[in-house]
Amino acid sequence: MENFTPVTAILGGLLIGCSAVLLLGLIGRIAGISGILFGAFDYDQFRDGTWRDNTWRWWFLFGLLSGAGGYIWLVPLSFEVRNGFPVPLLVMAGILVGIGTRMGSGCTSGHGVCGIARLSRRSILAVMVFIFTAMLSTYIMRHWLGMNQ
Amino acid sequence: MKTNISAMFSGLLFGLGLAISQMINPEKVLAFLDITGNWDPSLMLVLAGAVGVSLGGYHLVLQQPHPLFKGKFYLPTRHDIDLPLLLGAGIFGVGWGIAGYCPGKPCCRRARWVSRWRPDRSRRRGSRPSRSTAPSSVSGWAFTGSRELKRSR
Repeated sequence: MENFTPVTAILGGLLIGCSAVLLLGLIGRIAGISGILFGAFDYDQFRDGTWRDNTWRWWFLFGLLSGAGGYIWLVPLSFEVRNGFPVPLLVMAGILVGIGTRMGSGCTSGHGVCGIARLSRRSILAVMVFIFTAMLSTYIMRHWLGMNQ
Repeated sequence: MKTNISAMFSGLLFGLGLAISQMINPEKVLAFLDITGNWDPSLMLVLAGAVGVSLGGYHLVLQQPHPLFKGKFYLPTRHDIDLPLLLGAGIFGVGWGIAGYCPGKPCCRRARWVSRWRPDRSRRRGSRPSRSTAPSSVSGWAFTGSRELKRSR
């Protein structure tokens, strides 16, 4: 528990919550990163020769990148950057995350932050399922396969 | 234009939140998921903080007839629990648990490229791993997307 950082965790959480409320209050959208990212690449959005109400997604992603980038630029990283994690595992993880969030229509932000806030039954269940399988897969990776860095 | 600026501002806050709470560090995420190890409950507090704000905020916002700059709210309409939801959430969890990346983080980690010119060498190393997850996430989506398209034809 010595790595526990409650103050920055809550502060960051509050900012993420404000972001989600703003996005819904201003333009009526759910702040789910997988949904926004996927929608940004969705060929189905291209109709009648124009992108259908799609640019806001790119602006959101640009903001996301600048927000995190700006913070890192101003404040030196407080953690050691992970090095040497096997690339095939990263690719596999990425593919599973991609398939899973698409099939389950959401990720930690869409189901976790926005879904729970809307008291959506689907989201609450999805969060319980993915936290459970994530804990299981981390356990197997670290304690059975010895991927503990 | 208002729409885009709102989206960018919201994204900015989101990215800032992820960076401040260190959720851009996959090891921090894995430390939460690894309950039998040296458990770090920070992620739970991030989620709690975010849900705390959005629970109240959404309630107030959804009492309005429509969002400030748009004619309607774009909310998910489904309420049924189906297999793709459970299976998808399960698969996502497995992938998340392997490397500690969920969709927002590889995007944010790319932000490290932005700050690369800083003359501190130690900070430059190791930004590579994030390169592989974002494209493969997108290819995962593309894969299921094309499957869906086939099914609907």
